[in-house]
Amino acid sequence: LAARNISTASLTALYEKHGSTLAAYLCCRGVEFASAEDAVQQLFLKLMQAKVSMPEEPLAYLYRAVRNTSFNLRRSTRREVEMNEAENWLMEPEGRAEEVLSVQAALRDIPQEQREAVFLKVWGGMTLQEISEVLEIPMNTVASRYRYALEKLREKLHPLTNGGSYARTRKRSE
Amino acid sequence: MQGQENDPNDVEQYLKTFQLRQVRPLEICSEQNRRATASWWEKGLTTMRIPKLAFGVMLIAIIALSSGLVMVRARAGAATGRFLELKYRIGPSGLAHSGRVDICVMRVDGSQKGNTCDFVDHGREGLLLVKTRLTGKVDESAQLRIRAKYIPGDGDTEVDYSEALFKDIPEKVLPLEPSAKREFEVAGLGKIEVEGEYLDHIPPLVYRPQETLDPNPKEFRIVAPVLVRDNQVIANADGSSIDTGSPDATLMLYVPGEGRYLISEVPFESAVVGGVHLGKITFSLESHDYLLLTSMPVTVSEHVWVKHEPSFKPSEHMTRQSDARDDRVMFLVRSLKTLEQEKIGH
Repeated sequence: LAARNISTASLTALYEKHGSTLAAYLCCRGVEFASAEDAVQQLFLKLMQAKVSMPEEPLAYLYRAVRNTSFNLRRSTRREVEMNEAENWLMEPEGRAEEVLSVQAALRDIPQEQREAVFLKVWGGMTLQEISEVLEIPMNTVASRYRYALEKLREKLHPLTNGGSYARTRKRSE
Repeated sequence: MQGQENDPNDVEQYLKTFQLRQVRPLEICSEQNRRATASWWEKGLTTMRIPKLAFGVMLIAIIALSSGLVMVRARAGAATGRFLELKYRIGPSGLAHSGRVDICVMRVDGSQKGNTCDFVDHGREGLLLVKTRLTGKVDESAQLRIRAKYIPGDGDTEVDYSEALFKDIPEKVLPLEPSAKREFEVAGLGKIEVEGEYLDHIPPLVYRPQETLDPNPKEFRIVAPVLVRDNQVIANADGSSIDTGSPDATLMLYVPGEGRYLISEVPFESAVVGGVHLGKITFSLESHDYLLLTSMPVTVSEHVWVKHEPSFKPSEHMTRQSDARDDRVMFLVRSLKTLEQEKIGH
């Protein structure tokens, strides 16, 4: 991969664009939101101080970096690796608090590998190829995990999607 | 709904309607990180709980006190180690020297420098010169080699103190245990008894270990003199010179570029009177105020008489080669009569 020196301004822009997603990704891997937020900030500040070379497409690099951070956080804090029930890493739109809880509960109930695939695809906006680079697994494996995850989520979120806000959204979009 | 249930993208679209929690701006954390990576002194300054002035004063006090301790150690270190104090007692056959005790100290820590010990005893009937060197040491037993020479005559006999003086005198080997007494014979004088004692420092007055702070009535003592003129130090010397019997005991202090100062217990021609108080002598000469400081009280007298001779040069008057140097401070306490001679012996 071609590498380039990345400026502080570029890193700041990257943080503003992807910081929240990176922090949520750590939450998705079982880290509390506050710790995830700190970890992402520290990562960007270290990158600024070290003036490291980064790939032309730095997103996969950043996700791998925070993913490694989550391993370290787990080692250092020995905290529960499952998603923290008390932590909401999704915003709560007005009138949809229960939905948020349900979605997070549904995500928590599926295996972490599948959850990661869904998170990176839905909120990370990545292609399956990009996800395979982040997770360092074959793309077919990513596709399988993603498919299995959606099937399980469809099952779990069915009451919401039938007549709930999901249905309303669909109708509006039609 | 059948079609919807088979379309996984419906779930994906539904999930996308939920926004992620936003992280705080990077700048906020940036300041925190700057503090985290700040140097230790920056951290110290920002977290200091006592006034900075008080901290600064405390720091200066610590440095000053620790420097003081180092200076004390350095001063002590210059004369600490292992030393052998030798006392030479001249036997009853030693005529006028009989019963006198001469003392010298040598280093015994294995270094070549300082492991010798020489002295000259000026008696009324002659001079006794003794050279001692340490050639070995087993446990506490010191192996000494001594050469001694007695030269009959009066105390002012001129002597060349070079090695040639001892060339015909064989070295006597003398093993010496601490506190044990040994004897050796000196031609023309008789037996000399030697006694040794190990010390961990050099006494301030090597040759006069029994010296008291209070001078006895016949003493005139100058120890490590410092001469100050109008608040400026013009001479600062180590060592000591003491006269114990001359009624006209006088200090000759030579300062390079300044000539010599004669400071005597008795009045003499062209001299001005000065005051004595313990180790301080004050006088005024040629519109200058002088202060002579010494490490011990000088004399029991309350007055001295002082004369300045700017043209004096040791090279023109001192007979002993080591004293005949014009480029360094030199001082000597002798009788006024001796110091006023054209040629001055030791």
